[in-house]
Amino acid sequence: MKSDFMSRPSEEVLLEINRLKTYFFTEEGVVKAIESVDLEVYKSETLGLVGESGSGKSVTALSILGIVPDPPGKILDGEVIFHGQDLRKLSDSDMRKIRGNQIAMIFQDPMTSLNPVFTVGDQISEAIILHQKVTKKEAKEKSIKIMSLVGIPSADERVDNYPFEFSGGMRQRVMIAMALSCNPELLIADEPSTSLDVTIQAQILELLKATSEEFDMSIILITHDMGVIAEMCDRVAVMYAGFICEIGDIMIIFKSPYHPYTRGLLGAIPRPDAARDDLQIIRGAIPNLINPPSACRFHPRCDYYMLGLCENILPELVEIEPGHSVRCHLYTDEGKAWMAERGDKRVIGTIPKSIAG
Amino acid sequence: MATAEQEQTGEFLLDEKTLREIETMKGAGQWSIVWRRIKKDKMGMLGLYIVLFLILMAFSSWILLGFDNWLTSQGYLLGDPLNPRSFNNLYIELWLPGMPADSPLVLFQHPRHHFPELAKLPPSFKHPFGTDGIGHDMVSRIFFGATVSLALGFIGQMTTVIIGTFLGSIAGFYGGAIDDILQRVIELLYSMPGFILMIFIIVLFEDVNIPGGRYAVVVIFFSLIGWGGTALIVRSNFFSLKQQDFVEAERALGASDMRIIFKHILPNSLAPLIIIVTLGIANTIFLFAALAFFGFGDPNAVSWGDDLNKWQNELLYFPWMPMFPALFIFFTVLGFNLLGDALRDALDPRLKD
Repeated sequence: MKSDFMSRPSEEVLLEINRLKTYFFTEEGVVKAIESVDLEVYKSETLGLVGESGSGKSVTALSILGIVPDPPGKILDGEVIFHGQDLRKLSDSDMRKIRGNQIAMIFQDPMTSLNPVFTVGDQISEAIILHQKVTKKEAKEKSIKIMSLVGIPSADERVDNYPFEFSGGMRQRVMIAMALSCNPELLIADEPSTSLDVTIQAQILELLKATSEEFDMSIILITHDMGVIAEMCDRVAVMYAGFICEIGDIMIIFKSPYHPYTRGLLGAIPRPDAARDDLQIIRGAIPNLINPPSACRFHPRCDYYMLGLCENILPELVEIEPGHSVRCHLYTDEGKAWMAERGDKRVIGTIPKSIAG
Repeated sequence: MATAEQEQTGEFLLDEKTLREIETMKGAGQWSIVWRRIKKDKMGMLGLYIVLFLILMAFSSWILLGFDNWLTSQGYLLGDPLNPRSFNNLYIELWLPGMPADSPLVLFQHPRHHFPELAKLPPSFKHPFGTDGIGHDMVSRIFFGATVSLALGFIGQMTTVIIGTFLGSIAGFYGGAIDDILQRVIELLYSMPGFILMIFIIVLFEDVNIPGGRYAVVVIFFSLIGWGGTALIVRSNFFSLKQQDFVEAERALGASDMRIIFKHILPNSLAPLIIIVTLGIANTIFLFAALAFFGFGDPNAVSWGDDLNKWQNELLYFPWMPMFPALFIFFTVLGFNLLGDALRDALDPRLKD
């Protein structure tokens, strides 16, 4: 797996996740939310993390920061290497110094992510005071500066307002201001635009893009909106039921997806110029993660399912070309042997028209 | 006000009424909304006035007594603190700089001094509430008794609320085993009849000599056994609040657990705590008065409950002796209950006005 990204110099890697495994031990049973996630985030790139609801995108984000709600959640295995040190081995207090300072996160719903009883100025200041040795007054001045930076008009007045006096888009700007307050190297944005209306979405994404360039910051952008991915990201990782099934450069993946699931996702995007029948679907629904399908978790829904192979052996992540890996038996040695044995050539088709262009 | 500035900038003019509305909207924080709702509640305002009056009475009597002793020790007033027949020990006087030291303005008879020749007088102009069985002036007893009566209720309630809030927040935030243990302890405390337990403890510690007298023992044990209700309410509040997104956001910023519990979640459960304190003070004052009424108070203390206990047998012959202390206990409990009910309505987030 190390050889996956040999094409890029290794010192550019900011965050590396290996074999991350997070389960939730609930009363109904063990929810195997993340089975094995491997990915790398490079310096000053935007990595999209895309997948259906419940595919483990948010849990991956929480696992990176080590804030999976415990109980019931537990990170069972894997490494999260940030600047050469494994975050999972750090003590709680060392980890707190990294959270918000070097790795920051913004959340899906800005309506509930701000504490209703404090002014936004207090909350941004607190983020600064937690990590920097500044007085309250300096922190407030800095918050005003950051608030105007993220496009909040008359920030010096609004700094004393309470969250309920802000609109959804403005609140999300406040969240971004909080996240940016300590100049993080990595920003995890968990569906930052999902709960906002379309025009505000565009503004928030534009803001994220501009600030990431200004602060030279990497972003992990979690979303299920392929349009947002196409707009924002340099690379994209597709998640399904706790696995990364395809990861690679955005142009490559949007032009020629290798994994049947990626193909299904891209095919299922409605386009105004397409005929009504062209809209494709992925059969079935996302599996129950308490009793997930064996081996490759996508096999019950897959059009290229290989009987006797896909449900028994988990495919390895295979590098198709530099910087583009796929976890599917269509490209593994076992899969090729299976196809050769039956004389059954299965080749993935191309999607009718790329939206990336 | 339509200002000249607006005319100059060419903005459209707002009439006075709209501007006033905007002005009131500016202070539309949670507490100003609560204050508006209480102001509308007539019974709540009555309760608030009663409570404010009583607090004022308790504070002024406390300060007056202390000030009187201090003036005497400084030599501004006639009298020897050590001599019980000295003028200072018979009356509470007001003395202002410039007044002669031998003729200060006499405000009250000293609450601890009694004139046997004045015993059992009915209410009159000189003694508006009458005098008691051994010659204390009842007005003075009521006025100076407010300090102990209210302070006991306030201190007792605050300690239980602080203990209960602390344990309830920890249990609610962490859940699991800590929560289970706390719940069993609360069930244990609840399974014992509180009043009888208190009497038992008072009798047990009758001879213990600690600063503050018997009431210190009472308050300490009251807060040790009384925190269960607060803990349960705070705990259940934390259970819902810790699921909120802002807690996760705060964690992602690198805040520690203690900071999240006490700085971020606790202020969000302030509303129920205020209700607990207000309604609880009434109950606590009532409990301490009841303990005193049954003879488990401190006979040396100047408090309404103890006076009530002392003169309860005289009710049929000299009704003013037990009546006025009882009346003030009644007003206190009524005031705090009315205010507490109004606060409960005003802090209810489901209400919109």
